[in-house]
Amino acid sequence: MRLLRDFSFMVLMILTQVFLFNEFLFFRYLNPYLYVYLIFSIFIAYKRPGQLILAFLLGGAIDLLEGSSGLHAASAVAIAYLQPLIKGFWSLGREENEEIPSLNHLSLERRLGFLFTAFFLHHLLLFGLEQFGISNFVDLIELLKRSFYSSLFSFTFILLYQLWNARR
Amino acid sequence: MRYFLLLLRQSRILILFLALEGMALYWLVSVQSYPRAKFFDRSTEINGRISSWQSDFKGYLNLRLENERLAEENRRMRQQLNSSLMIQYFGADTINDSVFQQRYTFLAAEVVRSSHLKRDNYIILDKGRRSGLNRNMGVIGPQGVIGVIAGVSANFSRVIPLISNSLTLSGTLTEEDYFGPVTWPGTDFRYSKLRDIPRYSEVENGDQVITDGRSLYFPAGIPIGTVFGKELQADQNFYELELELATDFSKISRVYVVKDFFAAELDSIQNLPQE
Repeated sequence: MRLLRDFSFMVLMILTQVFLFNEFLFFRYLNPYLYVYLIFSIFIAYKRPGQLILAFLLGGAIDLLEGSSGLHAASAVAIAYLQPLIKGFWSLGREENEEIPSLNHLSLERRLGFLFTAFFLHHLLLFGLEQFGISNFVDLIELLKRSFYSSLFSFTFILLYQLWNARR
Repeated sequence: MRYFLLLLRQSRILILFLALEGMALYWLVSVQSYPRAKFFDRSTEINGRISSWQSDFKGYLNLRLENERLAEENRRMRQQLNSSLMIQYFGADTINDSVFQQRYTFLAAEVVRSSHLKRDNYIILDKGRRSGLNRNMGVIGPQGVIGVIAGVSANFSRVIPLISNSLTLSGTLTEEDYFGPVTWPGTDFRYSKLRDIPRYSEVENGDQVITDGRSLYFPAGIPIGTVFGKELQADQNFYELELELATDFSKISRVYVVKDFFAAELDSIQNLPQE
């Protein structure tokens, strides 16, 4: 039952990403990649191998629909693999006693910090892979700038959602 | 052996991660690079089909704009028709009316999918091998140069546009005949750069840059862009010009594929062994 629900969430998110968010342009340059949020909200409750495989499927589906051939799959799997590490960093000094791993155990500030770090890393990987090798310093600055602004843009959506959730 | 199995069990997450990442990266490198051009027919075909209906829908929304652009192009073409030219006959003895041999033909195609926000952008057209398209054919639009075909499947073809790191074209200034490579710096899809224009040229903002005979795959005289800034290169002898591209890559839908009847001949003479 849970699998079915999560699966339909996933399909919905993929369609929203491809047909809605990809049409959003900021400065005619940046577009938000919100599908990553699924990895931290839904996939996090699964066991580790499940998380990785789901992330691969999610990224792969985006790739197929966007024609980006493996870019999103690679970065989604990487961020799913790194996710416990980032989470560990942001929950330093807290006691770990979660039955079902979830973000809701973190305080709002830590949660937002975690989400921003994760989004930034994902975007950095995505654009880095797309660029395929850094030949000079200007490229590196350009890459960092682009990843930063883009993740900030994606993060704004998540921030609004999180704040709305926290108020309830 | 038991220790090995234990190790394997402990690092199963890492192994799964590496396997999935490997698959994704293999997918990536096998499709992306243009010079190595290992091109997957299948992936283009699937992409093309999925995007076809999406672009059909968008097509309806943009019909009016598209019509205007095509009408403007028609106007320009009409100016060049024989009927709008005057024949000046100066009393020469013979008229040789077979001087002109058809060199280029054009095939209209439609864009089913395109990107303009990436570092290496691409365009997919709705015509492929069945329509006689092949690699290394030029693609132009109503406003100017678009790109070069990098691979074809049965019904679709993939174009490397001007706004891609892997395509460099030769461009010429209309006012003077200096030429140089047009290379996209990889940031904004509206602008590009033309390098190696000599310092003593009198290039000014607003000058047109067009294709010439050196730009393989394209007929001469197709607009590439307009100059809007110049800067000396590091060697202090040449200018690097900022170009505003003629084609707006964020809204291309109808394009023409250029077929050069002399492509094979040109190619063979270029690759003659040096004596």
